[in-house]
Amino acid sequence: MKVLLVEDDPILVQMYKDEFSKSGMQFVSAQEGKEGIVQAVKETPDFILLDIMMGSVDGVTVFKHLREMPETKDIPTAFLTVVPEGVPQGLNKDPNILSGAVGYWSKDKYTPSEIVKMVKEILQKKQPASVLE
Amino acid sequence: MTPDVKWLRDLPVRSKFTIILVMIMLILVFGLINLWFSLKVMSAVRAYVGGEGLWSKAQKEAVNNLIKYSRSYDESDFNNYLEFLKVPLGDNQARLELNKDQPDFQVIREGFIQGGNHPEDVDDLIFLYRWFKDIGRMKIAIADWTQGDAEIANLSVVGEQIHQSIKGRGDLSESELTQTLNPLINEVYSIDKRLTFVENHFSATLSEGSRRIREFLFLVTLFLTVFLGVTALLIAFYIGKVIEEVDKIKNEFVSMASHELRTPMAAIKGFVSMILMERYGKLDSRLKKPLENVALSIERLIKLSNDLLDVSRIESSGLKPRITDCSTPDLIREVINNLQNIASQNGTTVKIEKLDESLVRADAGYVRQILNNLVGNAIKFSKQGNVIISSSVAGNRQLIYVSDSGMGIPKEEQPKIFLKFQQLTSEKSGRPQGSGLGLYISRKLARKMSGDLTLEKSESGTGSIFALALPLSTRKIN
Repeated sequence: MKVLLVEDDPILVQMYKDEFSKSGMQFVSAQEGKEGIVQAVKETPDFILLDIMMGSVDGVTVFKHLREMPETKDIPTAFLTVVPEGVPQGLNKDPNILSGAVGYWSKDKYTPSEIVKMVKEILQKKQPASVLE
Repeated sequence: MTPDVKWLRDLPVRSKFTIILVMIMLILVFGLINLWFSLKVMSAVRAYVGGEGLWSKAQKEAVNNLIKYSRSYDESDFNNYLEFLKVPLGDNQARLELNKDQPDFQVIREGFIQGGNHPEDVDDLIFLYRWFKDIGRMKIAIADWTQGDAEIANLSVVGEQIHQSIKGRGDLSESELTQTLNPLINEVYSIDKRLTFVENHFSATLSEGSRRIREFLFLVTLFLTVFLGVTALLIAFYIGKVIEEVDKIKNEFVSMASHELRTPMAAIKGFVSMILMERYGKLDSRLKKPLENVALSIERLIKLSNDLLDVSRIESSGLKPRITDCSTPDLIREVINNLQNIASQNGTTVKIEKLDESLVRADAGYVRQILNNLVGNAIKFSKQGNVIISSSVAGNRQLIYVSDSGMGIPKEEQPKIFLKFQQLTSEKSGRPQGSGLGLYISRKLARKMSGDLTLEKSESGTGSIFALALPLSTRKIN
C-alpha cells in the first residue's frame, strides 16, 4: 500500500517516512501543493495525507483539485495539520470540505505510529470514515 | 471608503480613544462656552435696551421739569430736573471710562448704577461694550449714545442758563423775562426733539444688532457642532475599522505563531515517540526515563500552546461554534475511553452512571474539549479515587455532572476557579501541572453554545461536582 504525504516541512516528511516505511507501507512525498497534485496523479497512492498551510498552494485548494480529477477523486484523503479547525487558515475557509475528507488530524495530537494505525484502519475499512478529532 | 490617515492608523488604540474623548470634551466645552456667551450677549443687549428706556424716560422728565421750572420759577422743579439729569450723566460717566485703555471699573459700575441699571446687569453691560464696541450695530449704537450725551451736555448748559436767568431776574418784568427765556425754552425743545430721534435710533439699532447676533451665534453653533460632531463620528468610525483590523491581524498572528510553534513540537513529539518505540534501534535503558520526561514536557507545551490559542480566539471573537444536534453519551464514552490510560496510571476508577439520551444543540468539538478538561481534571485530582459521570434533564437543558473524590476546592478559592491562569494548589500536591486556563476556556466554550459550566458542589476532602449545561434539541433521538 502506498501513501502520499504533501508536507512542506522536510523534518516532518522524514519522520513520517521513517514510520510508514517501518510499517511496511510505500511512502512518497511532495513538498508543496502543486507537486502534490502531480504526484497524486502520477503515483496514484492508496491514501493521501495533506498539510494545510503550505507555500503557494494550500492543502484545502489541493484537496479541491484532487476531488475534481477522475484519477484522484476516490483516493481517501485526510488533512494532517497543526491548524485547529475553525481558524481562518483551517476549515473555516470552506466548512463543507470536511465532509469530503476522511480525517482532520492534528500532527501534535497523534504520534506517527497512531497516524499509521489510523491510515491502515481506514484502508482496511475497519473504521468508518469519521475518524475526526 | 475610509480615507487612509496613516498617522491615525499608527497611533496606539489608547491614543485613538483619547482623540475621541477629546473631541467629545471639545464639543461639550464648546457647547457650554457657546451657551454662556449667547446668554451673556443676549442678557447684555436686554440690559442696554432696558437702560436706554430708563435713560430716555429720565431725559424726558428732566426736560419736562426744566420747562415747568421756566414757568413756575420754583427751585424744587429745577432740583427735580437736576435729579432726572443724573441718569444720563451716570451712563455718560460709564461710557467715558469704558473708552479708556485702562478703565476704572468702580467708576464704570457707579456710573451705570447712577443710570438706573440693575447692579447685576452691570457686568454684562461692560462685557458687551468692551467686546463689541468696534463691531457693526454696537458701534452705531455707541455713536448714538455719544451723540445723546453731547445733547445732554447742551441741555445742561441751557438748563443752567435758564436757572441763572430766573435766579437773576431781579426787577425784570414778566414779559422781559419771558423774552429772555423763550429762546432758551425753544432750544430745550430742539434738543429734546433731536434726543428723541437719537434714542429711537439707538433702540432700533440695538434690536437689530440683537437679532443679528442671535442669528450669528446660531450659525456658529450649528456649524461648529456639525463640524465637531461629524469629525468625531468619522474618527470613531475609522478607529472602529482600525480596531477590527488589529483584531484580525492579532488573530492571524496568533494562529501563525501557533503554527510555527506547533510544527517543531509535533516533530519532537513524533521523533521521541519513535525513539521510545525503538524505531531507530534498541534504546539504551538509561535513556528511557529522560526521553519519557521529554515526551511529557512536550505534551505540556502542546497543551499550553493550544490553550493560549483558544484564549486568543475566545477573546478576539474568532471562535464560532458549529452547532448541530449532538448525542452526549457517545461523546462522554469517547472522552473516557481516551483518558482511560491516564486514569489507570493514576489508580482512578472512572464510572458512568445514568446518562440522559436526549439530543443537545452544541458543537461536538467544544463538548469533547470541555469534557476532556473536566474529566481530565477529575482524574488528576482523584489519585486512587473515583470519578463519576452522569447526566439528566433540567428544564430545557441537559446537565452533565462530573464528580470526583479529590481534595475539593476551598470556599475562598471557588469564585476564582473560572478565571484565567488560576490553579489549585495544596500542601500535599504542591503546584499542579497545567496552564490554569482549562476551566476558563471550558466555561467560555459552554457559553458560546448558550450553555454554561458551573461548580455544583465542592467540599474540602470529599471532592467536587462540576455541571455542564447544554440546550436541549427539539429533535428527539430515533
